Amino acid sequence: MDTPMPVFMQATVVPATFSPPASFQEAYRDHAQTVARWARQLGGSDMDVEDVVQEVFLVVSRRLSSFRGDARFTSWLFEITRKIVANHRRRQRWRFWRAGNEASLASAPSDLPDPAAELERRRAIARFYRALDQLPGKYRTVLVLYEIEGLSTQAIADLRELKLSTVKVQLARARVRFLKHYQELMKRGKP
Amino acid sequence: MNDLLPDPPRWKERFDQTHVAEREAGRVIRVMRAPEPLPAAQLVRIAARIRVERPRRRTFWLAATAALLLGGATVASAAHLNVLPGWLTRIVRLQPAGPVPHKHASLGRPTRMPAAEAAAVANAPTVPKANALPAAIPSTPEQPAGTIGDGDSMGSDLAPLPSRKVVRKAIEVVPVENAPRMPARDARPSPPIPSSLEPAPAVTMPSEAQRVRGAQVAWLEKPAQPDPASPARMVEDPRPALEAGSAQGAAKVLSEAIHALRVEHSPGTALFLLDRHGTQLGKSAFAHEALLLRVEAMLALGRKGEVLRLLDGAALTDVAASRSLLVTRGELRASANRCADALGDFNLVLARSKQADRQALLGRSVCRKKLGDSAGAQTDIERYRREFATDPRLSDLERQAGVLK
Repeated sequence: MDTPMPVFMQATVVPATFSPPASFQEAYRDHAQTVARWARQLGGSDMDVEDVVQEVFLVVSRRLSSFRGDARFTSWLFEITRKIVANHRRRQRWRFWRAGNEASLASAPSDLPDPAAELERRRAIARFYRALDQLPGKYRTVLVLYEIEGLSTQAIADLRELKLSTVKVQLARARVRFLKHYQELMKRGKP
Repeated sequence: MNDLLPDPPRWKERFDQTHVAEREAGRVIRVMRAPEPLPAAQLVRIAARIRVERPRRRTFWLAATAALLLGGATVASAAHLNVLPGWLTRIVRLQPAGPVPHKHASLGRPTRMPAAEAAAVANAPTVPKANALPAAIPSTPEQPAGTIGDGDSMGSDLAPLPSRKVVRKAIEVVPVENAPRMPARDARPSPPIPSSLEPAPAVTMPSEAQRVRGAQVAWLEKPAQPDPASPARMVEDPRPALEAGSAQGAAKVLSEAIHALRVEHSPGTALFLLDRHGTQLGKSAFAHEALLLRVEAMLALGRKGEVLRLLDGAALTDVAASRSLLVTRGELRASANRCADALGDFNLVLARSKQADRQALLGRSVCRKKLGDSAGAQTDIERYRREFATDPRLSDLERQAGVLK
C-alpha cells in the first residue's frame, strides 16, 4: 500500500481564475478534485466527500449561467463548498447526537498494519476538528486554509475575496482561539 | 500595517514550540494525510448522479411553485368567498383592500368584520365590575348597544355592556330642504388628551343620530386625518371637489359617506370622503351631520382620543341638536378621568330634556360617585329605575345597584 504524501509536502496552489468555465462539464472536469480536497479539509475525515462534491456541482449546474465573472470562479466555488460543508457538518452533528458516539469514524477499526497507532492518529485528528468546530465559521475557514491547506494569507485573501489585513487579523484571532479550545480538550482528555 | 507583516510560521512547520497545544496541533497536522484525489470511477458516478438529480430537483421546484400558486389562489378565492377559517382570515386580512361587505348573499353566511371593527368589538368590555355603579346599561329597543352615547366608552365604570354584539342601525339621510343652516364658527383649541383615554374600549355606531337635526355645531378648524392604515388613503377620488355652498353636492358626499360607513362598513372610506370634502362640507348646511358622521367613523376606527379632541373643540351649544354628541363627549371625558367636565355635559343633556337620557343619567351617576357625591349618584340610580322600568335588563342593574347600598 502506498504511503500517502504528507500534507505539508504537497503543492497547494489553487488556480485562481476570473473567467468562468465554458460549460458545466468543463467546470466539473477542472474543479471536482479541488472541491473534494476543500471538502475533506474543511469538514475533516468524517465528511462524506462524494456527497459534498455532488451537492456543490448541483448548485454550480443551476447557477453557472448566472455567474457573471465579477468574482474569481474559484472564490465562488469555494464559497459554495464552504456553505455546503457547513450544512453537512450541522447534519453530522445532529446525527452524531442522535446516534450517540457509535457512528464516529475516529473509533472505527483500521486495516492498517498498526491499528493502535492508526486509531490514535484518527482520534488526534478528530480532537483537532472538534476544537476547530468551536470556532466561528470565518475563523475556522481561514485557519484550515492556512494551517492545513497551506495557502498563504495573500492566497486566502484572493480566494475569499477579502482584504489581506482582514485575513491576517482573522488568522491571528483564529489561532489564539483554536489553541485555547484545543488545550481545554487536551486537558479533558477527550478524543 | 498588517500587510507589512510576514505570514506567521505554520504550526506544522515548527518543531520547537513551547506551547503544548501549538506543538500538538502541529503534530496532528503533520500526521494528517492529504486528501486523496477522487478516483475517476467515483467522479463518473458523481457526474451521473448530478445528471439524474438535476431534472428531479427542477421538477420538485416546479411542483413546489405550482402548489404554492395553487394554494395562494385557493386562499384568495376562499377569502373572497369568505369561507376561510378564522385564524387564516386574521392572517390573510390584516389590511383589507377595500370595503368588505358583511354578508355574502351567495353563501348566506355572515362574514367577518374588518380588522378595525373587529378590534373595537373585541376590546368592548362585557362584564361589569361588581363594585361599580350600575353602569352596565343594556341595550334597549330604542337605543341599541354600541352606539354613540351608549355608555360603552366610559372606561371601567361606565363601559361594561352585557352584550358584545354590535348592533348597527342605519340613520336616514337628511333631505336637503330640511337641513339646518351653517352654524357659527367658534371652535376653540383642543386640550391635550390624557393617555388613559387611549386604551378605552371603542364605541362604534351612533343610533340617536337620526333624531338629531338642526345642528348648531361649529365646524372644526382642522379635520381629523384619515387613518394611515385605512385603504381609503390610497384611493384617489376622481370626483371633483364640491363647489362651496353646493347643498346638493354636500348631500351627495354625505350620502356616499353614510353608504360607505353603514352599508360597506368601511369607516376609513367614509372618513376619507369627509376629509376630502371637509372644507366644503363645513360651509354647507350639513356641517352637523358631517360632524356626526365623522365622530361615528372615528369611533368605529377606535380613534377615541381624536374624537375627544374634536368634541372638546366643538361648541355644542344647541343641546337639543347635539344631545348625542354631548353624551358621547361626556362619556369620553369620563373615561379620560375628567369627571368634572363630563358632569357638565351630562347635566346639560339632562337639564334640557324632559325625558331623561339613559346614558346621560348613568354617566352622571358614575361621575357623581367618582367625585364623592354618593347621595347624588344614588338619586340618579333611583331615577333610572323609575324612568326605565321596562328595561329588560333592569334586574342586572338592580343587583349591581345593591352594591351601592
